[in-house]
Amino acid sequence: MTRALVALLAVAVGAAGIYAIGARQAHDHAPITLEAVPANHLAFASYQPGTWKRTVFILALGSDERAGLGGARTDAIHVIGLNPALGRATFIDIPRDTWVDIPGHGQGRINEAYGDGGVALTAQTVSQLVGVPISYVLVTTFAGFTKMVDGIGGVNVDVPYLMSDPNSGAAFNPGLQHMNGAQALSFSRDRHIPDGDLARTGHQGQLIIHALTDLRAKGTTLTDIVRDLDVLYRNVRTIGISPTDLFRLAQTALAIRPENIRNYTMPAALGFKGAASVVFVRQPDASSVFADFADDAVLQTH
Amino acid sequence: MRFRPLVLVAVVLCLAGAACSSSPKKPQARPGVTGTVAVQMHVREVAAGELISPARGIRPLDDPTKARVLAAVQKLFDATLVDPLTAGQAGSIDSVFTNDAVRQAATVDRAAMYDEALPRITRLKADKAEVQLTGLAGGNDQAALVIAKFGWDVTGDGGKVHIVRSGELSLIPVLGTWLIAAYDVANATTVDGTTTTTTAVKK
Repeated sequence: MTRALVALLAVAVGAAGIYAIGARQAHDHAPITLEAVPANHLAFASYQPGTWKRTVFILALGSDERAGLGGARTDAIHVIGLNPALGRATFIDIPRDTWVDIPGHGQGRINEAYGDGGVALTAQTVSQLVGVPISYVLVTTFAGFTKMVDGIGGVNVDVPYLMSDPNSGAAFNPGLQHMNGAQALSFSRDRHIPDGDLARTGHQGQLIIHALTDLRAKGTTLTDIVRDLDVLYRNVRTIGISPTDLFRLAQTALAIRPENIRNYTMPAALGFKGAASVVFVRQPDASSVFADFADDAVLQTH
Repeated sequence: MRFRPLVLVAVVLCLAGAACSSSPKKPQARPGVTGTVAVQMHVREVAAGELISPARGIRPLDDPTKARVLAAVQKLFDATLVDPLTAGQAGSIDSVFTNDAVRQAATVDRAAMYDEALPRITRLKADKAEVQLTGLAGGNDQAALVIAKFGWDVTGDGGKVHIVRSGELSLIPVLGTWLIAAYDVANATTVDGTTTTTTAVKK
């Protein structure tokens, strides 16, 4: 479960296998949380195999929350659409500095919604932008992300160009390489690259898909998935999601073949709002992409 | 997950109430025998069943649930493998599947789910008839789903028929019993040296 959200969930499960250290459901500041959005939550009274055929949209967030630092924002924002019937998934990558309307808070960068209103407001903001109902939100911190990647034994990443950025710690030559959690975090945070934040958000989506590929290779039987849930529960705080619904979600996510996952960065343009560097939604291209995505979570014309 | 090598299943084959085939007093199978050959073969749980619970971690699957799930698997084993081979006719599986699942299992997936149209045999030996149970607790912390991972390896009449069936069954509680609601099964049947492989998936 690690494509913008599908992928992230997969990574969370895999990581839990190794980092089974947390107190079960007891950590208020868990590095990873998975929360249902009440209005759109797909819940079933009892488990019935095969009933999850509906398209589901999940929001994956990477928070920069760190001990001692207040005002957490979301460095990574991805909407993951899963279409079980078609066996396809799409990641829509949203640059963190995207300038949007934040309900009740005027205009601002989309990553400010998390500090303004947490998961609920972020989900509302993203849902308003993309035009899809968000059913679940997965949030991971730097520490959680690092653990997730290490937990699945690292991830293979094809670095497109030389990356050298003291701020993020990225120091990579071009080409395919195996990264541990800390390296993957650096790769996903580096924005001092061609196309800056736009390229960075695309890298995050790619990384999640790579991780998903690795996870699938480790086993996707039903027994595997149930056991994965045990390790997930040791590390991920779940809110509003029953175990059987989570099982169903994991089963759905892992059934999608990596080659059927599309990673697409929202049409956008770098610019300024006053003196502040921001990312503007590029219209009408973005609306066209969102409409294509919203009907079935698959991009047919983009 | 792989089966833990806790138990190598011994095969229990009793013909007409007599001792097993390894016994010096075993009854002699008579060629051309007609009527039903009484056979008892027991599937064995190869590891203590476990229940994954969000609130309480891993704990043993409770005995009543385990017994009911194993009974369903046993019934499937008897009805689709033992009965067709020894009695020439499959048993009913209606009572171990949900309505939705049995419709598919008994029709489009029949070739994988049943060992039918094979030479009738009088002696059965199971080198493996294993089941591993992994449950998932629901919101009430009671088992809401049990995955039965199974592996069967059965030989009839000293190798005339060889059946290897494996896969996973998803069982859910329905009105006090446990029914198979989904499955993923692979079956390889070898008759006189020719192997036929079939698979079936119900999600």
